[in-house]
Amino acid sequence: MITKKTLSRRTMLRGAGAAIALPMFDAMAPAMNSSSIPGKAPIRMAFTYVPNGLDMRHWTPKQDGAFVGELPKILKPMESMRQDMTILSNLTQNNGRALLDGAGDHGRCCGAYLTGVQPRKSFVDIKAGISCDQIVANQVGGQNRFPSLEVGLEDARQAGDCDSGYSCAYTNNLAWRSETQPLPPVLDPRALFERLFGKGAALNPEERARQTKYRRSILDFVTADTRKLQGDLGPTDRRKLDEYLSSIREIERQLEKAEKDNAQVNPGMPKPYGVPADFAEHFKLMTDMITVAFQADMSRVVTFLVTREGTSRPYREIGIPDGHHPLTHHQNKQELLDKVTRINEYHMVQFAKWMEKLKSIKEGDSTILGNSMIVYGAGLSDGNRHTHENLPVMIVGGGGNTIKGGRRITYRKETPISNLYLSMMDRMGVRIEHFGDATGRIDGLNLA
Amino acid sequence: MQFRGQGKPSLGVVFDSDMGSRVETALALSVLYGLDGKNECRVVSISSSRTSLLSAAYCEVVGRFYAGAVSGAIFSIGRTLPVGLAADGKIAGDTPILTGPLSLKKPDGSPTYEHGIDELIDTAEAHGLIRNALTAQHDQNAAVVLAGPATNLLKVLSLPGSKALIAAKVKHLVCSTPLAAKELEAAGWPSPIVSVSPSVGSAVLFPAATLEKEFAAFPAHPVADAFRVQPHDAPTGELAAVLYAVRPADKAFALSESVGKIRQLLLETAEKERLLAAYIELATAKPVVRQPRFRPPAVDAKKPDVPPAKP
Repeated sequence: MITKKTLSRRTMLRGAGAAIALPMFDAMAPAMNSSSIPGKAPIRMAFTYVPNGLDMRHWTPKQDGAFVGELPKILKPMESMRQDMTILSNLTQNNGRALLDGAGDHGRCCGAYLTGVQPRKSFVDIKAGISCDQIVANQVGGQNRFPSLEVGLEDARQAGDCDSGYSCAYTNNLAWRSETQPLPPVLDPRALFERLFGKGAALNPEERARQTKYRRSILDFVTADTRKLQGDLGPTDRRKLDEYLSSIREIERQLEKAEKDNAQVNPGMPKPYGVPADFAEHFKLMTDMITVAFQADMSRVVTFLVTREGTSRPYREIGIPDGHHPLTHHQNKQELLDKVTRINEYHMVQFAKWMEKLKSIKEGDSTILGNSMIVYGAGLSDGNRHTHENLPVMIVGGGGNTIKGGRRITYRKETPISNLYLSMMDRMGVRIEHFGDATGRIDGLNLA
Repeated sequence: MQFRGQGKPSLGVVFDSDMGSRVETALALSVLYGLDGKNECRVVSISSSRTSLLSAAYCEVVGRFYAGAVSGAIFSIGRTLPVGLAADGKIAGDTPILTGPLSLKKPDGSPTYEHGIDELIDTAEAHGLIRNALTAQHDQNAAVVLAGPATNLLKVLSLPGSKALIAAKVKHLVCSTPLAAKELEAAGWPSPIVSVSPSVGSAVLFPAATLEKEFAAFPAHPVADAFRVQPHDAPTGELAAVLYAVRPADKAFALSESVGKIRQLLLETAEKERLLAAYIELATAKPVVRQPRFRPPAVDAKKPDVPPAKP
């Protein structure tokens, strides 16, 4: 006998100017508790990109197969998730290489990273290719409020010459909707918040400050709906709803704090209004919102450009006043190498916190992380020599119980990274024969 | 790696073979590196269709022997190109041509010829490697030499966009056997195809006596050590394929009328002696460490280009 009341997956909490999508509740599964049906939860795909290559000495685990002993220095922050991550070695982006186009490895490697094609060397007449995330967004994104989300942390221009004749459009974007249309990342947490939960276009600072003064939580606008929904949910779903709404409130608090701080501090450079001064806080805010977007199935496809390729951003917050890019041309000087490693570790610490959060959120019989494929990597391996082979690539998450973690897999030399993307697209339900310079699909990721 | 604005570099040569089946292939590879050392060409890809790790290892050993001359890529001095290897065919046995040189030891017990190929992951997919090498060549400034079955090149043709790439980049494909040439023609290989006539190889034999003469000057030479396994006057069809690919205007060669897309490579009998001398000179040439092609640094205005002459 069917007794459970079911809830539509598209149920939202609505109020004046606000609409909050909801995470997957047990009540959303068909009657008779189908939350345990494998493959029911959506699969998500995200790409987290860090610039200027990595210190590969501290990235690659010593041996193939299951991780044994301590993880390398840069990966140590991921220790609690060692069974959820896989290091993929020897993947190459040939189209990031000069081929016939001379200098400009930073521009090329980022433009080629998800598109799999060699970007045209130009800063006025840009051309790359449709990126793999957008292929997925085009084919399956229609089911979600946002076919894809593009997120970043560093304010970056979209025009001009950013690397030896390569447009800033190449170094400052990961996602390409078409050959000529990159999708710039959202940098301002407030803009992302309002994109996700309503409020329309970004306001100017004065108007925002005025509104902030009287601002209530977005949750206040949906109180009636929330109360009604709570009455329809079982105890487990009610707890899940409370946790979810609390996480949104927490994001609001972080945003308010950042905006309050920004009102008091002149950053000395143009900066979106809601961007926290602290890098780690900014990282957390943006990834918290991506988490909510995944949780509520607002989007299944994300590109996250941590900082733009070729960036010379200093990391004073960890005692490194030198620019990141100049440091990576360390010429094997130990002092400079150590600083590069510390920046790499710092990025990984933030990323690991995000992954822990994704792992902490239950979804059916699994977790959000278990139902995701989050790639962490860079378009260069050795930033000193600008090498495009053996890129640092880590995939975190179970891909909906299809990926076995806890190990390093080394592929044959020069294996195109596009092969990985084809395998990921398969798992997203997008089966295409050719992508970029792929020569096939990668093997060995599967559980078996 | 090539940079625009530096002028066109020498011809880029892709060499695909079933290395290990005949000593002739090893000699052909040494001729190719000899031409590379003279800056007449650049070896841009090495691959084997012989499904044997030792085949790839031997190719790498030869590459390391000529290290520095093998690639114009920045920072490539002392590094060899990855070796492409067919991996989905029937496992081929290891021949004495491969096991002979690769099992040699120095007095201290270490291998005479070091290599880094112990597992399949130490090699590259041959077809992807060849395709990638071609992407880095100027239009009509590449040649492909095939000294063995067409396995790898047929797979190149199966990659999307490869036919247009080959048509743009490859001046000619030179096959050492008519069968491979016909297979590739049938599969739609888009560049002109030259097939070495069987008579060319048997008309000029590479003398085993070079082991006691020209090769004797080297304390260790991987091609000589492969040759030593079964010394004999070796046919030179594959050497002709290499030499024609790089020196198509050499008077030693002539081409037949084309049949379909294929033209036969023929020999001018009067040039046999000169041709043999060229083979010997190139195959036994000393490795030449070539400086990588790199954009020259900006001239420092404060420093004169040429140091002042000593008084």
